[in-house]
Parts: sequence; C-alpha cells; structure tokens
Amino acid sequence: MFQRSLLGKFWLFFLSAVVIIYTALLIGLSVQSQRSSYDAALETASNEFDAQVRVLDYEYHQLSDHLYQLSELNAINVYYANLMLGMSYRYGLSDSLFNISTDIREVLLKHDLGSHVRAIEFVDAVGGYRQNIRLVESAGQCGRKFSTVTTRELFFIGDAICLQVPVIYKQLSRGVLHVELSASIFDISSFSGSGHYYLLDPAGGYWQWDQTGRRWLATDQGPPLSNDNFLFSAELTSGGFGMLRSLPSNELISFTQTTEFIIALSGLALLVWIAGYKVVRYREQNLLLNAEVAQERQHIEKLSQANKRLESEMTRREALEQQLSYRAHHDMLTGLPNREQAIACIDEAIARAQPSRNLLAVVFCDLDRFKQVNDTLGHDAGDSLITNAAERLQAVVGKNDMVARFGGDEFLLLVESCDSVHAVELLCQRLIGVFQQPFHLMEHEFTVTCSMGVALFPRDSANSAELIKQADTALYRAKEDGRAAWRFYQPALDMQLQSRLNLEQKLLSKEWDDHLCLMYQPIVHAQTGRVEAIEALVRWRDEDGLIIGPDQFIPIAEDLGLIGEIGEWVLRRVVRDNRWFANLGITSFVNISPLQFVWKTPLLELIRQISQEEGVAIHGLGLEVTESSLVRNVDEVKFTLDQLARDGMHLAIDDFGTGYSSLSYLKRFPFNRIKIDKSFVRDICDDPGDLELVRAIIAMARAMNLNVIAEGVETTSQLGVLRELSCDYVQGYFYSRPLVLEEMIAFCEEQNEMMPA
Amino acid sequence: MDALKKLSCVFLLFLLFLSSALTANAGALDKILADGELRHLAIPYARFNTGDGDGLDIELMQGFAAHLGVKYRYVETGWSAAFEDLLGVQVKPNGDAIEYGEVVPIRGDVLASGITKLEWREQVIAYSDSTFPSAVWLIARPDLPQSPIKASGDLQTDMQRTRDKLTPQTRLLSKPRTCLDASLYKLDGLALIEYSSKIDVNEVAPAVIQGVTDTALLDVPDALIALEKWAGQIKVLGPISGLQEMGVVFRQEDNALREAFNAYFRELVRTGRYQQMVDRYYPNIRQHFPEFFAALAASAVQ
Repeated sequence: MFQRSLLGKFWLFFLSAVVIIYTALLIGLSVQSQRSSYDAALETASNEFDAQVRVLDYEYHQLSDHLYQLSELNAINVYYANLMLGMSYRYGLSDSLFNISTDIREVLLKHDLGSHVRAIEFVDAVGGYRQNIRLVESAGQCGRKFSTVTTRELFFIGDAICLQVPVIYKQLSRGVLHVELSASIFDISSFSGSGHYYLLDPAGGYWQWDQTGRRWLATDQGPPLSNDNFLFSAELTSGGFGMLRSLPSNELISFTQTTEFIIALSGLALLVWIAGYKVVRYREQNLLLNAEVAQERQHIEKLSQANKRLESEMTRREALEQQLSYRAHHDMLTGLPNREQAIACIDEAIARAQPSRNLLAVVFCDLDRFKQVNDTLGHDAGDSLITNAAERLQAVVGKNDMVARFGGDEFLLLVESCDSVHAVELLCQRLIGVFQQPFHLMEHEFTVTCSMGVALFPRDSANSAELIKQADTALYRAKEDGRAAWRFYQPALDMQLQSRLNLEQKLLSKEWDDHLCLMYQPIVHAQTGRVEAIEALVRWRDEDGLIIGPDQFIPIAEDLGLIGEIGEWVLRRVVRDNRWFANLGITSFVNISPLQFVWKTPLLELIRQISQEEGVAIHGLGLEVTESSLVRNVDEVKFTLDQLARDGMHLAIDDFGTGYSSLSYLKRFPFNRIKIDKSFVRDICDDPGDLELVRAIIAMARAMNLNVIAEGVETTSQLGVLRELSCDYVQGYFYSRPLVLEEMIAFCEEQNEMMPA
Repeated sequence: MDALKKLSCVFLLFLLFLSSALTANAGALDKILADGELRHLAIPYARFNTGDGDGLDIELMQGFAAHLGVKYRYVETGWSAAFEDLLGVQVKPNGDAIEYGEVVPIRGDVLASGITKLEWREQVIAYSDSTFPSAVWLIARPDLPQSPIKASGDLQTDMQRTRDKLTPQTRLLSKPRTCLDASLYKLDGLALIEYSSKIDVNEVAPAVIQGVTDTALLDVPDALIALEKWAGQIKVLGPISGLQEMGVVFRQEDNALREAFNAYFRELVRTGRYQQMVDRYYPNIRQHFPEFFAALAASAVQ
C-alpha cells in the first residue's frame, strides 16, 4: 500500500512537471512563432505594397511616354515653322495652332488615353499663344493655373494631377504642354489590402485616397504616426512622388500575434498550474470520500445486480410454475387436459349443469389395436398415432366440449353440447366415422378403430368418478362386443365385468404375496399309485378369502402385461417349495405362459438364476408348456427348452389334444411327457371317440418314448380305463384335489408309504 | 462693227438658250432619272477632288446621286473646258462680257469641284446654295524679304497691307479663268504678273517653293493644306480677297435639278453629315470660317 502511494505520488509529480514544462514550451514557442509571423506579415504587406506601386509606376510611365511624344507632333513643328516665318495669327498661324489640337486628339484617341487625360494646354512660350484641348467637358482650363508652377514635371492642382511636357523646336524649348490627368492615373482602388493611402509630393503636400470617389483629396497632414499603425512607403520614379500606406496594426496581425495573446496564454498556463495544484489538494482530501462513494456505488451495483437476478429468478420461477401447472394439468404429448384436469372439468361441468339438470355425456374412448401398433412400429409411431387420434377427436366435438387424454390410448370426452341421448349417439357415430380413415404412420397405413363407452349425467350418476367408471365399464362392453362401437352404461348387465375390473385393479397393485398362493395337485403313477410328481397351480385369493382360479386372472394378467412378474413369482415359489418334494423324489411341475418366453428376462436365464439363488437342482423341476406357446418365436422357444432339457429339467406338453396336436412339436421339442387334457378323460368311459383318441395318443407317446399323464381323473372307471390303456400317470380329484404345500407334503408322504415302490 | 458683234453674240446666246431649253427644259432631272445616271463634271483640285477617286465634292455628288436613286458617273474635265462641257458651248470671259465659242457636246449634268462663285460665271451658269467658304491669300517664298502683315482686325486694311507688300519687281503667279486670276483682284501693275496656264492650280505652292515665282495667289482651303504640307517652305503674306463662296454649278435652266440638290444639301447640313465630311477633308476650315458654317447651319434649319 505504501509502495502504491509512493508510486502514485511519483507519477503525480512527474505529470505536474510535464505539464509545467509543456506549458512553458507552449508559451515560448508562441512568442517565437508570433515574432516570426509578425515579421513575415510586415514583409508580406511591404512587398505587396511595393509591387502594387511598381505596377502603378509602370502604368504611369506608359502613359507619360505617350504624352511626351505629343511634344514631337508634326503639327507643333509646323506651327513653329510658320511662327518663325512671322505669319500672323489670323492668316495661317491660328490654323496651325488648331491643327495641334486636332493632332493631339488623334494621338490620344489612337492610344486610348482619353480615360486618363482630361485636358491639354499647348503654351507657346515664343509667340505667347495658347491652345486648350479639352477632352472631358468638366475639365478645367488648367493652363492659367500652370503659369504659376512651371518647374515641376508632375504636381497637383486641386484634385487633378498635372504633367508638364516641354516642347522643343530646333533644340530650344519653345513652349510646354500642360496635361491635366484624371485621378485614374494613380487609381489605387484595385490595390489589395486595407488601410489608408497617401500621395506625398516633393513639396511636402499630402493627398489622401478617397475610395468612394476614387480620387485623391488634398489633406493638411499625412498619415498618423503611432504604434497603432504600420507605415509602408514606396517611391514613384516619376515626379518625385512618394506613396504611403497607413495600416492599422490590428488589421495586419491577428489576436494570436499580439502581446495580449501571450499574456492570456501565460495566464491560462498559470490557471492550469493553480488548478492542477488545487486538484491534487482536493484529490487527497476527497480520496476517502471517493472511496466511500465508490464503495457505496459498488454496493448499489451489487444490489442492483442482485435485484436483477431476483427479478430474473422470479420471472423464471413464474414461467416454471406456469409450465409445471400446465404439465400438471395437461398431457405433454397431445397438449390435451390430463386425467386430473379432466376430472376437475367434469366436476365443474356437473356443478354448472346441476341446477338445470342439463345433459352431460362422459365418453371413454379407447383405440383398438393400439398395443399392436406400439409393439410393431415402436413407441414413436404409437405417440404419433395418439397425437393424430387426439386431433381427430377434437375436430369432431363441439367448441365447448372437452377432449382429455386419460392415459395410454385412452381419451375422455366431456360433452356438454348435446341436449339429448340421440345427439350423443350421433356424436359417437361421427367419432366412429373419423376413425374409419386410415392413419399414416412411419410410411405405413393403419386403420385403427376406436371403441367408446358413454355415461350420462344426471341419468347414470352425479359424481365425476362414478361417471368415469361407468363410462369405462361401458367401454369394456363395447370392446367385448367386437370393438369399433360405442355402448351406453347399463348397470344391471355389467356386474361380471365390474368384478373383472376390480380384479384388474388388484392385479395392478402387484401385491403378489398378499393375493397369490400356490396349490399343488399330485401326479400319481397309474399302476403303482405312488406320487411321482406334483403340479403347482396358482390361485388368486381375494381380501375376503375368495379363491379365483388361473383361468380367470391369468388372461387378465396377460392383458395387463403382468404375466411375466406373476410367472417369476410362481416359479420362484415352486423352486423354493421343491426342496420339500425333492426329498421325496417328487418332481414339481409348473405351468409356463407363452408370454414368459418373450418376457424382459428370458425364461432360461430366469430359471437358472432362481434355481441358483434358491439352491435347488433343476432336474427336480418340470415345466408344462401349452401347444400355443410353441407357435410363436419357435427358434427362441426351442433353444430355451433344449437348454432346460439339457440341464435335466422335465418338460411336459400341456392340454395335448385341444390344440394343434402336432406330432412335429413332439418330435422337434425335447418333451418327455404329454398331458392329455381332462376334456378327453371326462367322457372316456362313455365316449368311444375320446377313448380311441386317448388310446391313439398313448400309442403315439409310446412310439416316441414319451410318458403320458391324463388329467381330470375323478372316478375309478376312468382310472381303470387308463390303466388298461397303459397310461403312465394320472392326475385328478380321484387322488386329491389341489392342496396347499403343507397338506401336499403330508399327502405325498402318506400316499407313498401306503404304496411301496 | 461692235454693234454687229454684240448682235451676233445676242443671237448666239438666244440659240444657245433655245437649244438648251429644248434639251434641258425637258427636265434635266427627269432625264437623269430616266437615264438612271448622274454625270459629275469634276476638276482635280485640292481636296475637293483629289483625282484619286475621292474628295469633298466627289463624296457630295455621290451622295446626291444616291439621293436621286441613280448611278453616279465621274466625268473628269479641266479648268479650261469645265464650263463648255456643262453648257455645250465654249464660253470665255472678256472683261465684263462673255464670249461664246463653238458648240461642243455636253458631257455632264453638274459641275462641282471647288468652283468659286465669280460674277462672270453667274452670267452663264447657276450656282447652288453656297457649299464652302474661301478667300484668296498671297503666298511667298520664305526667303522673300517681304514679311507677313500684322493682322489689324480689319479685312480691308489687311488686304491693302498685303497689296502693299507687292512691288513691280515681285513676280506674281496668276491663273486665268480661275479664282486665282490676278485680274479679278485688280493687281495689274502692282507686281510682275506671270500668267501661266500650264501650271495647274494644285501646283501653285510647289511653284513658289521651287522658285518658279516669288509670290502666288492661293485660295485659303488650298493654302491651309500647303502650310501644313510644306511647313516652313512657304509663308502667307496676307489676304488678297474677302470671303468667297463656292457652290455646285448647274445649267441655268436646270432649276429642278438645282433645287433638288439644294434640298439634299440642306438636309445634309441639318443632319451634320456635311460638317463631318468637311472636317474629314479640311480639318481646320470650320474654325477658320466659323461665321460661314454657322450661317450654313442656320439656313439649313429654316
């Protein structure tokens, strides 16, 4: 800090010295420059005056040369010749005298001297005769005046300049020509430069130039002699005249050339020095104040910047809030109101319609085959389809109606513009119609229809949630009835559907451990009666204890895309329970849904992972696969089954005979058991066709070295026929209904003890 | 015998008048207009007719022809034949009488060449209005002992003083039938008069300079030019005559033509053009005879 202060003082001192030296140099140079320019101006003016006078003198000499030539006129010689002969004035001499004037006029005209010469008088000094030649009417007869001044060549008489030209005849002066010149002979009106001009004759008389009258006027005194005037003089070579130019000094030199200017400049420099000194003094005094001001300014600047940031942040947050609010109430893909907004709108509409009981229609709309489009062309195509569908829906509904996206491919329409059920039907019909046109997606053309369910206020409900639920119910009915249709909500006919919906809701909650449970049914050797294997059967147990079979909830789970998770839960539980049955030498079979082959975790990997995690050998497990599982993804399914078979897993084809019953499956896939569907076993005793079919299946299995399991065995007769047909295993209520784990373990132990190997 | 001569002269004059009337009365002016030509008889003399195609009277007659609208034709003649060329008959003064000679062809319509108005001439011809002033001076060689007179302010006195300068031994050149005829001024006996018809009027001054004669009579217009031209070689002793006037000469019967000229001349004077012409040929004559030109201007305005 001390060093900075010292450095600052050094610079201050240095700059002060520079300023002082600079101003001193400035003043010195100004003085020098002033002197130079002063001398130059004087010299220029003097030279200019001399040059102008020389020109004037030259012009005068030109004129005077002509005038002197007048004295040599022949007429004058003739005159003097006649005079010398004694001729009388009356008889001859007057004519000669007249001829002189005539010839002089001719000469003056010839040389264009008329503008300079006003009059000429010929004075014969011998005979005493005079001849006056007036060229200007106003010119006077100057001859009489000349008589008093005859010794000078050029002189003033009044305002006229007169020239005396001697007349020589035979080497003797015989007379004189008096020439009265106009002022133009010394006309200096063309002189450049201001000031006063004077003519000074040899006798000491002064004439001053009158610029207005363009003439010389006699004056009593010459130019003023003072320091305020510059005086320039020049000699005229003829007549002994001198010319003077009196020039006020202020017209020659500018203010910058005056002493006053130097004084003013010095004063200014002094002021600069004083001001600099004062500034330094005040600078020191105001340093603290300046620092405070600077700090305050900085503080204000910071506050200002903080305010700006705050304002910017507030603006940003307001925008964000608006955006969030928008996002909270709208679907980002279509820009339509979302579920929450739709419900709120329905509530508001109900509130508005409540007093007048106006008709409101809540239309639940679902795109048919949307999932297929999504799976086939991807999510981008699905999004595009949703967007296009939203536009079509908006194009059909009224201006005051609302279209909301409820989720997935579901839209909810709130129709306030229809005043009758018939009008709602017409609207639905138009909605169906706009979906008849194909959609163009990813260079493909798709026709995606839509199904709709309609609930009406106030007929069906005055509650938004109920109306939406009722519309959804009606939508399922429409879908079940073949899709591309609309249905109104009908309370009495939709109980079953309602229960399905309830089940869906529960499935979607994914609380598997609370609701899923495994039941086991024994697979018994037909000849020995020993339990050789068990089939795990999954059940859905409702909160009220109601058990729902897989035939009811598995398809729903498949529709909801939950079959993979349920399958994994079942598989893991079967593997875990298999520890109990493995000790008894019993194989645990579990049913596999076709969709499990294409689930996100491949089946092969899942089984290996679970068996490893649970510490159970795979060869104690068995899979039951329906024929429909083999139709799709054949290579992938075959690979999985081959790997599992190699790992020692038992593979059984389930419900054989109800589907394709293709021998190629049996040959192609590594099955080692066939389960004959219970529908063939049920009437095997009474229906020869079933009997023969079962027989054929068993024979074929024998030929292919496959074991046969007959399901649904409930009676002794059925067991007897199957034994007779050499069926390997039987399964059914004849031995046991499905039992929970503990019961099954107990049953197996008891059964196998009773039936020795 | 004298009576017979007089009778014959009268008869001849009658015949001349008759013939002139027969030809001229038809109207010289009409004839000029009919012929489309004005024939100007002129004698080379001073600056009235320089002989070089210009001169005061030449210019005057050219202007007159133009005024008439006819072509100008210059017809040169001499002092001896000038009048007979105009009149068509030879005429010669003999004392106060006129002697007529043979009839000759008329060569011109008008005679103008500085012709001084003389009494004898007016017996046979008619003058126009006076066009130019003149007088006769006595000039002499510079070395002649007689000095010029001192002007007295009176013309008659000056004329007498001039005549007194002559002595019987002084040779005086006279030009008969002209204004320089010594007989016109009754100088016979005063000097030794030498009549010479060989010397042209224009050669009078050179004759004095060359010493052919001691003195000579010279009209003022010619004298003024001679003084300027031969300054110091001649001197004017003094006046011999008073004011003389010149005019354009017409046949007496050609009144219409003369009046036409007089009208033209007055217009020329009135407009000042004539004065300009005079100044061009005789620059100082107007200042020498200011009264004449003042009267001329006054008469032109009337």
